[in-house]
Amino acid sequence: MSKFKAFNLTEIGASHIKEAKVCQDDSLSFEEKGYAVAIVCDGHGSNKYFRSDRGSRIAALVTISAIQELMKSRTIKNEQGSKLIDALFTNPDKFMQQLAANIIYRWREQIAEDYQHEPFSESELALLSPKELIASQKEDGWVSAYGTTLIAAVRASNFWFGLHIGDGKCVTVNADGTTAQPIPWDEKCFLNVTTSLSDAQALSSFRWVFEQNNKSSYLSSFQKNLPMAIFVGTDGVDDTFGNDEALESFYKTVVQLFNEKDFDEAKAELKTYLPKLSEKGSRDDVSIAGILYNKTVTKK
Amino acid sequence: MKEFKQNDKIELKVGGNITIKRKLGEGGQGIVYLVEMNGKQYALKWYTHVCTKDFYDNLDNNIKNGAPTDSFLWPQFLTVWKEKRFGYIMALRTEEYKDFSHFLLAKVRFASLSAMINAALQISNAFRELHRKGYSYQDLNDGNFFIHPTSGEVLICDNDNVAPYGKNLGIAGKCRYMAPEVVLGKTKPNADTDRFSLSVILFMLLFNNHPLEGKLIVAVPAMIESMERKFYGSNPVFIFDPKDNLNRPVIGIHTNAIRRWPIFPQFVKDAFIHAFGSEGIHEPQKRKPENEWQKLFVKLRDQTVKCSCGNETFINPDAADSSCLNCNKSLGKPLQLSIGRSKVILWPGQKTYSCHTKSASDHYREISGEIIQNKVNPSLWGMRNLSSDTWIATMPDNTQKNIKNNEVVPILKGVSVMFASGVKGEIVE
Amino acid sequence: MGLLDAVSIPRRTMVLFFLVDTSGSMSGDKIGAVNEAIREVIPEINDISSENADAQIKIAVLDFSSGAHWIYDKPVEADQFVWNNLEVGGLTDMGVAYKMLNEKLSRTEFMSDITGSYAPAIFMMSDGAPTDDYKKELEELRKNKWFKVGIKVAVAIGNDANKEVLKEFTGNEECVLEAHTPEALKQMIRFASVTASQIGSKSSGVGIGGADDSSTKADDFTKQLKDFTAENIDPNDVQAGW
Repeated sequence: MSKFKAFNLTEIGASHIKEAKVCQDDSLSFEEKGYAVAIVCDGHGSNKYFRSDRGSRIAALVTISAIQELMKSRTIKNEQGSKLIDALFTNPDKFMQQLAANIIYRWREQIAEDYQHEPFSESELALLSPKELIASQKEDGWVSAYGTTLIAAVRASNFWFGLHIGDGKCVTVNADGTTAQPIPWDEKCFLNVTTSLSDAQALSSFRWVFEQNNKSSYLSSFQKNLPMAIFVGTDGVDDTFGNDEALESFYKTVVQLFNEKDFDEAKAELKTYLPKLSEKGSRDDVSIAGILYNKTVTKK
Repeated sequence: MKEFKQNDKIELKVGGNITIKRKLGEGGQGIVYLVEMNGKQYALKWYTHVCTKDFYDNLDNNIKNGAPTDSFLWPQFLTVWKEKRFGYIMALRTEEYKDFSHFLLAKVRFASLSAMINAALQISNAFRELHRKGYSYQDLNDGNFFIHPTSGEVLICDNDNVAPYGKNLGIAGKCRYMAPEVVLGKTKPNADTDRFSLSVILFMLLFNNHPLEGKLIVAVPAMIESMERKFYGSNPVFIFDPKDNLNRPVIGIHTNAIRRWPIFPQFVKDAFIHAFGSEGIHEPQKRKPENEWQKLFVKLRDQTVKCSCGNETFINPDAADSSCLNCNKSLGKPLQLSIGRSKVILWPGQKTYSCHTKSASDHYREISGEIIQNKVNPSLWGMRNLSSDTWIATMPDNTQKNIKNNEVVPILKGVSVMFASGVKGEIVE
Repeated sequence: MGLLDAVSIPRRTMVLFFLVDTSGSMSGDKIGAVNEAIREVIPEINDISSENADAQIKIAVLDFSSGAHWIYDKPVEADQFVWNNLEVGGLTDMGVAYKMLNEKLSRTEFMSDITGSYAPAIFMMSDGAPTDDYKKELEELRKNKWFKVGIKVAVAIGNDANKEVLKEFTGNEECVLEAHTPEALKQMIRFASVTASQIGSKSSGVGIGGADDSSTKADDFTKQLKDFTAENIDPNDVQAGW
């Protein structure tokens, strides 16, 4: 049984419904014995990003594969007998950068396959302005139509990390009730402008955080200095709340919900709530994925 | 490990004390403090771990021998060896010099191609001088260099692991900069392995990307040691290997390399293709010596001119026309000064150096001449003598003129100039 | 029902700015037209605002002549906004106006209420004859990120208005509208405010990389404005898209 539980929810935005637009968000979650993963992706909204729903789906899928592969290899030993995980602790930046590069690589390979299999149709190209049309015919010009943001969080017993490109927010809630947004923010993401997985310099736009269990802590099952809950959400969520305080307070309420109810019940209630949040708030697609402690394991 | 506080005093081996002012920074090996001695300020590097006497003595030796060139931020004084701990003081580095890793992350850019070329020249030259003095670096990596983005001036730091040939202090260096034979454990670092590291650094300087990091490297989510040994040791593949496209750079990740590779002249590309081809990888003695890199960058500098749009670009001396990399304006085929093996493009602002005009000189920094525009008739260009030698210019009609310091040789096809005994140049198309 | 329904979701706020030239050259029917137009459009903006319980439009007005000053010290909700006729007289310190606008376009100032994605809409009403060194201030204003993404419209008042100066403000000529009659002015302001508030609420487009790449709300607005004519626009056609 996993120490952690993960969930993911994606609901189409009120404005997307009104304009008969597809949902461009996607999300995934995964848990296994030693760790859990939460991922959200937000395909860009303007007309010229007409395949961003595919881009976000592909991004979520390649990210989860990459993470699973990384986590599988963490116990591989080198010639001296030390495990990869030790190298990860010593030099997390190197590993985070490698993971980000791998995600970009996989994503580009898959969207290239999609594009080759199905070049842009007349109706898709009609959505572009003359200038955009010319740009899309240049060598790498078709890629941006798939553009998406990505936030991924991974929680294991003695470490966690978050990887992020573009807008949307990652909020952590600690056992003492405090909240934080530990992944560094990118000032280039402002209002409706965001960095993207499709950017030519995507790797340099990735941000991350890596935290490991403080070895001097004597608490075992409740590692006090690692977050109790981690949430990742697309900007449909944070745009609704407008400021950090309101957003973090919202997530604290979500934690409370999961504390009070059974996991599946809580998830169902959050799912019903999301469309209301979009309707009253940002009107945009909303996705939330989260990782929490598995109550049935820790309740001893 | 306890850190020093303000006003703590530490004794120097030569006698006297230094006073701690404040902490400047911290690295893997030590902590750097701002200190004062006799009214002057220095940087103190204090090792956070226990050191061997060998290490201490090696540093002492290096101090006595002095720095190979001004580019090295060399240890000046050691502190007293106490309880197996110590530090050394060196000159302070001013803030304008930026960490090389910032250039790689594109946090800082070179102001111009000349600045970049200057940095490459200085680094190549620094290692040449280092090796000439019988040292090997052993631990070359991007944390060692600080570069001024406008001038390209270089400061080389962390010179603790410089040791005479044959003597190894047990440093393995960062894998990415290590020669393949060191990665595979076949040899300890030495001058040949330094040369490999140098070619990596030069490649990164020009292309903002590691030469062996392309598709193969990013195809995995985590680099395990066996893969590192393969990609940097047993089976490295150059990202622009003409025969093998398995490791090509990936857009979105290695975009800098993709954009920058095409802009450089073929002779530069060829040098890197060799450095990371089978000879450069597997035959350490065949690696390009530092002075050859130095000559290469002098040649590149000879072809660098400033376009009217304000940006620099390269002129191909053999092509009928060259266009500006930035604004695409056609620059035609300017006249060149053919001197020895060099072809210096004659363009306002271009300079010649002692390595061109003095006999048996490889001085690449000492300016000997400059191309200028006539103030009355800007379409008339001349070469001003900035050296202390008197040149003898022979006009197309065979008349001769003495060109003393500050005087100007008109730039016309067919003019030839005797710069020094045995050093003759001719202005050609 | 549950815990989540009790979570308070702030009303989406969009701020409309009016920068009004009240210099001597605007006297007579020019300022008369502006006063009347704004007075009449405010209730309409209020209508949009109140039709949606979840959204609100706030208004901020800066009048500039010799010097500049904000009518209220904070953006005011449309239903609370009282319009007092602006008087004219003095020079045209457009530079000062730009400087003051730049100061207020910040999260700690007039943009504090803004939920994530609503860019401000800024209307300049002037005959475009600045008397101070405005270019420097405009350059600074252009660096302001709220200004960059905001919807900018200039209404050139009068037959002899200097459109070039106004073009510098909006960044393009499609957003410089000419009003030759009071009625036309009113139509223009109404259409532009209503459209801007509509666009302001649309789901996020994205601009990545350089200016060429961005398809921002300002671009969407410009497209709509291009199609605008001085004909009567039935406000009911322009649905409150909140």
